[in-house]
Amino acid sequence: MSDTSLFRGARTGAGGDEMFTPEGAVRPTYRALHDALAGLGLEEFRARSESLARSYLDQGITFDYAGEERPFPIDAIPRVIDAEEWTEVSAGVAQRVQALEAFLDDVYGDRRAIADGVIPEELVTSSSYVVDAVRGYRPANGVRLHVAGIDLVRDGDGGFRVLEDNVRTPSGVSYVLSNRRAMAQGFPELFADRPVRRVGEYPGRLLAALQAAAPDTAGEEATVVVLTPGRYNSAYFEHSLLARTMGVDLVEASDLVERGDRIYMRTTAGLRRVDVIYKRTDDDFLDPEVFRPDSMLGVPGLVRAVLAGNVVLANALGNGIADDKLTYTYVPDLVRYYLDEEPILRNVDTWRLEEPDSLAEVLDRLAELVVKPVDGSGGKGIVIGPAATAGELDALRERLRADPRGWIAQPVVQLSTIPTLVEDGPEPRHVDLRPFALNSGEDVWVLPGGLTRVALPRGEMIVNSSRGGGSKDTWVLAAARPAAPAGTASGAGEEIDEGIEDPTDDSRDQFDDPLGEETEERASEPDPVTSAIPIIEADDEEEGRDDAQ
Amino acid sequence: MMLSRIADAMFWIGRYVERADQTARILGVSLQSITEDASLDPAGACAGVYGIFGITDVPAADLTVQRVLDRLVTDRQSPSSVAGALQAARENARGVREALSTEVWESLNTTTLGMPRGVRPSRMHGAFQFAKDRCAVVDGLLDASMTRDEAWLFLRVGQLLERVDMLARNLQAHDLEDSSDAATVLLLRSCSAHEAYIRSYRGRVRAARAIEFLLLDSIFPRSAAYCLSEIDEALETLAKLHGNSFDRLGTAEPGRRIVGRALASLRFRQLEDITEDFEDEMEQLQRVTGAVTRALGTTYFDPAS
Repeated sequence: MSDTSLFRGARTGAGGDEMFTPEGAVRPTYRALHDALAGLGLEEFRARSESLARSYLDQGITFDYAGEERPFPIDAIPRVIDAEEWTEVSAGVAQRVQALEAFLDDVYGDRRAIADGVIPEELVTSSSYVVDAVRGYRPANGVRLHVAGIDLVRDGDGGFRVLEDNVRTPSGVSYVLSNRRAMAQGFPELFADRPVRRVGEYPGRLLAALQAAAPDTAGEEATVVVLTPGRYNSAYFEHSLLARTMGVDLVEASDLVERGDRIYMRTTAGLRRVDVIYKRTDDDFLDPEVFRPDSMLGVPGLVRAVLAGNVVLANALGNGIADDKLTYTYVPDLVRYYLDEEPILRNVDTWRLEEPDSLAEVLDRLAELVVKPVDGSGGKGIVIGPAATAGELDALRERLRADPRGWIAQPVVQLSTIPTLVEDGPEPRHVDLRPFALNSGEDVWVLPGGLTRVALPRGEMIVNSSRGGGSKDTWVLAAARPAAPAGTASGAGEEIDEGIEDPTDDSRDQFDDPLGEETEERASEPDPVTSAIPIIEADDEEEGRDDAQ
Repeated sequence: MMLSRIADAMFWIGRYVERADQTARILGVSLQSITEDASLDPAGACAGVYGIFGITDVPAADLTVQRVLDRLVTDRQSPSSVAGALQAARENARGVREALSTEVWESLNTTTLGMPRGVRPSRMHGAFQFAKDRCAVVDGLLDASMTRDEAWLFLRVGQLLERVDMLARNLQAHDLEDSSDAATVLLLRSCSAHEAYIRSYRGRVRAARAIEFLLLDSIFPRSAAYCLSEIDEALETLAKLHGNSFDRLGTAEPGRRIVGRALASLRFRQLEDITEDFEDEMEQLQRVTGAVTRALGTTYFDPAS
């Protein structure tokens, strides 16, 4: 049977695979997908996978790897998450975002969490991510965390846990959008029997959240721009895609100028006022007046304009304190403190090395733990104990003793696996999941699914693209039949209107418009003059129809 | 109104794509004639080819068809080569993707990726055909998928200016003394005007008439007069978009003045007058490109703030 030939290498009998049980049976969530894929056979599957890769190169869906433009690897076996589990995950992500939002408001406000003993004062005072310049500043609609990416992994029991929070400039959402489009084009039949929730409304939602953040001085329609470090940035493709799909200008620092505490962009008609900047540049490089004076990527005077309330940055300056890995260890407490709720998503167990007992234990068990710098991203600086040499561990011990505040330690989490196409066919590879959340100030919306990253080398646990990772389309299945809305639990309000993916809808660059109602209203009023003139004479139209048959 | 940086990049995308296309057309004809005609001195002929593109003092080792191909077709570092111009267009496009339609971007991207890294004389026809076909696809997509907004207008002006510039270079390198049919046909072909000329005038080609056709024909889309009047129109539309609709004389914007004068100068003089000091006239025509580029810079790409 073709079934066994495609997934032959994927049934390893190991635990922790999302498609197969250790006994080799297909899990119910994956049943339909598995059968459809198996029906294709290895040869057809491989051929179509290759055309996916080629289309990524043609479309310029690339990232910068060691100075070279490479196509971002997409694996054609999707990840599937069922409706029930997703309801919980998305509620957990939204909860976490709200707690972090409250935490940021507190850190840059009166710091009552410190006064109330929830977090130690040193957490804030010792972090290099607190920007003193914005202490006391509160954005117009109170939102500092417009876009968040929360990294999740499955632990040994199969439940999702939070590995880290990304609240500065989380990236990767462009791959969610392009992966879905590529899969719908390349494998339309896989979508046939399964109602997969759509992802295409993200750009419209993002624009709405950014416009909602505009300062009071903005006109009726706020001018939003995306600020990129430039086309040599590794995530440039994403910056460009987001600007294009939102229909806003993609600017570089040199396109912006400050005049009288206001920010303008240079256009062919002179200077034009900017209200909201979705920044994709690191804080350090944003404004040479406040941060690194040598930055060529900055806009002098930007911070003054922010503090004057004339322009809003998304995400806000100084968010780094909220995704400091030491802060991470306190997030469950922050959820309880600010929201008065129990955390829905659990953290991975973590040692704080500044506590002497913990440090001693970690130093002792270093060879079996993962140690991470608190300020790292992209997998930088991580040491995986079991994979490290004795020399590396010794060197690490020295650094931990010297700077315990700079590190945290975690047990090695056995990430779950999903069959992934490699040389000899699909084999299990480790994955994580980064759901994206948008905060408009009114509510927190979580994009169904998110980015599933997969480590392509066998056994590799670090999934970042900078370490040769790829990605998978991530499917959230729609609920079979949503029960009567009145009967559903709280927080399920967004579940009522589930957009379902339709692979035949291949409008290439059009993402859904969640603000559609408004435009519809406008369109319903016909123009009084032109509406009286038919585009085509009724008689002609009749004829045309006959011809077509 | 749009970002100045993007307007600038659009202008250069227009120029580079047109340059790649024209370079492929000119080389296709001229190199083919060198390889076909055993009586020609290859080194001298190659020097002539370099001359069209303004490259002088070429080392003797580079005076072979293979080296011309290396330098003017496949060298990605040089913006005067076919592959280099495409690369430059693609790099500009990468910086302004949100201003281009996805189809245009993908087409430019695949064109650049598809250009061969090296070409032998025996296979050069295929490489030229590829470049010309792909440029035609890009042109077609630009025409069919882009709104006629500012971005498109800047691109269009760039394309037309480059076309005039290449035509002027090609004419400048042409030997007016040689009024043989063969030389005239070669000139028309390298300007991609041979078939259009035949259809317009029928039968035998005449040198003077060919020059006239290339410079002044009002409906041939590659003639200098046609391109200049299209540029004028595009610049007028741009001026209106920027609210300068009361510019009754059409002279407020320096670019339009330059283009208008060049057009009038070609159109309202006797042909003999133009051909009297032909080389100099064609030199002046090439300067129009630079002057208009500078004028656009002052008005749009770097307006005083």
